[in-house]
Formats: sequence, C-alpha cells, structure tokens
Amino acid sequence: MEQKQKRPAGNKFRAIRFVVIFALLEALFYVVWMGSFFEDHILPLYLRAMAESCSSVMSVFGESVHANGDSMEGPQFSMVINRGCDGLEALALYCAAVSAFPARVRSKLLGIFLGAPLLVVINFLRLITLYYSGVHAPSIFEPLHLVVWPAIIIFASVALWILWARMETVTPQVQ
Amino acid sequence: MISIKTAIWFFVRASVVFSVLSLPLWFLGAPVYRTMFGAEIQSLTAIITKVKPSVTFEVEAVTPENNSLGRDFNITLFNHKVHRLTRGKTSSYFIGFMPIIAVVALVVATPMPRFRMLRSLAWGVLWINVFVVFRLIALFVLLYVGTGKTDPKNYWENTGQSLSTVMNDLPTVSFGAAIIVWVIVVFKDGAGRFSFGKEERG
Repeated sequence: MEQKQKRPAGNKFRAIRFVVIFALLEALFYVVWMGSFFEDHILPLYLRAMAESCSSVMSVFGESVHANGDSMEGPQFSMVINRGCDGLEALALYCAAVSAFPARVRSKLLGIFLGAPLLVVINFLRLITLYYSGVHAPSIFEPLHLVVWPAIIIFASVALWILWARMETVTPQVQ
Repeated sequence: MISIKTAIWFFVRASVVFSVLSLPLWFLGAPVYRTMFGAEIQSLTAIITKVKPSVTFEVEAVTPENNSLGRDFNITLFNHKVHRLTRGKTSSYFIGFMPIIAVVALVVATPMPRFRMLRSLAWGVLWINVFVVFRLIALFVLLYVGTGKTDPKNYWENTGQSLSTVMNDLPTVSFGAAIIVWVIVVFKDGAGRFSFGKEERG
C-alpha cells in the first residue's frame, strides 16, 4: 500500500526564505564588490596576492613567470588578473548559499571555513591553466576564460554547497 | 546521506553538459538562438513603444568585436520628448543563452527520476527566460534614464553604470540567477511542494 509522506509545514517558507536571503546576500556582495572603496583599497591587494601566489607556484614547476602588480608576466605570454577572474563571485555565491540555508551557525561557519579555501584553490588552478593555455594554445584561451572556467568554478561552489547542505539536513532517525 | 562521490559526479556532469552546450555556440556563432534573442528584443521594444509612444528603438544585429563579451546587438533608444538618444549593447550569448544552459546543466546533473527532470527542465527554462526578459528591460530602463537630464552629482549615472556592469558584463550573474531558478524548480517534491527542510534518514 502506498503511504503518503507528510512533510513539515514550514518547508515552503524555508525554501522561499532561503531564496530571498540568498538573493539579498548576493546583491549585498555586488554592492560592496562594485563599490569604490573595495575597488580602490581591497581588490588591488587581493589581485596582487593572487598574481604573486600563482607565479610562485608556477616557478616551482620551472616556469619563468613573475608577478608585476596584478599581472603574471612571462617571456611568451602575460595576463592581467581583473575583477571577475578573482574567484570572489563564486566564493560569495557559496558563502551566501551556506549562510542562507536553515542550519546552525556553527555548522555554517564550519562550511564556510572548509569550503572557501577549496574554491580559492580552484581559482588558482583556473589562473594557472589560463596562463598555460595562453602560452601553448591561444585559440582556446577565450572559450576557457569566458565559458569553461566560470562554469567550473560556479558548479564547484554549488557542488560544495550541496555536499554541505545534505550533510547538515540529513539527521539520523532515533531508534 | 549524499556522498562526496555524488557531489563530484554532480559537478563533473554539470560542467560537461554546460561546456558541451556552450562550445558549439562559441565556435559557430549560434544563429538559431541569436535569431530567437533578436525576436525577443524586437517584441519587447514593440511593447514598450506601444505603452510609451514617445520612445522608439532601433535594434541592429552586429558581429561582436574581440574582447567585447560577445555583444552582438546594438540598441539605440530615441526619446522624442527630450530629443535625445542613447546607445547600448547586449549579447545574445552572455545575457540570453548562458543562463539558460546553466539551468539545463544544473537540472541534468541533479540525480532525480526522468519525468521529474523533464518537468524541472521545462519550468527552469521558462523561469530563466523571465530573468532574461528582466535583464533586457533593465537595459532599456538604463537607456531611457540616460536620455534624461543628468543630476549634478552623477548619482544616477554612476548607479546606472554599476547596475549595467552587474547585469550586462559579469558572466557569473547568469549563474547566480540560474542557481536560484534551479533551487526553485528542483527542490520541489512530486506534489509541487518544496522539500527543503530537515529530512530524516530511515
């Protein structure tokens, strides 16, 4: 016999609340991210740190790349890390999704502290592969830059969020 | 409980579906969707002109220049009341197609029964098209505001410019909208109710 499963009455409200809080946090991020204070004082430091870290990692593997401000320069190819290539949007998206989800604050903080570094690492990989594609396969640089990598980093943040959210929501049944 | 393997599988599937759907478009110029997008712009401008006869539009499909984020439509707005015009550009790919295939990729990558997937796809494509229309309307509003008198502190101009950047220049905004639509269409159970709360493992 088929049994109808009863769901908690507040589910619809919880989902709508999630969507609203998520959208508001994303909007807040874009207000701050596009603001002149962030653009003038914080973003250049972050982009410089990204360029220096990526150049250092590539130097370990024998590439003669050096950072010059927010750009990575080598003998064959140079690229500037701009706003949009910083990975902050994906990071904000993940943090907004985790923060908006109905869960305990401790669990949210744990999700952010564990997930955020992973997304930063993925963005590192993005910049390094973009540099290598610029050197070795310039024809695929633009599709990689504008299509493939934005999708990968966003889907990675969604996958991380799903993993965290499911771990958070599935609770063991009391025997 | 969902495993790391399932999450990785979701990520791989979504990335592959998205890349496969987007790459032919990138290389071939997407004539089919571009035509549809052009028709969407024409219909919207016709409605606006009907509602506000002092405003007319000129829409021109162009070949995108390099590093122009694929902007392939030039839109000129004439405000006959103040005898001024403003020009804007939009991209059928980044503004229209990208959010649609992002929703498709997210839905296809989500493990669920086939019928539910098809239903979610249908609803997802519908909702994301509402977002595309909203984006275009936002562009038209910005063009219209641009024909008005500018304020001395350039507040509205700056705000409009920032909004335009967010709505028209940043590819990730498409993904943000796609994720919201995906949450709405996928996290619904068979009876059309949201299943988003605490679940019990049994």
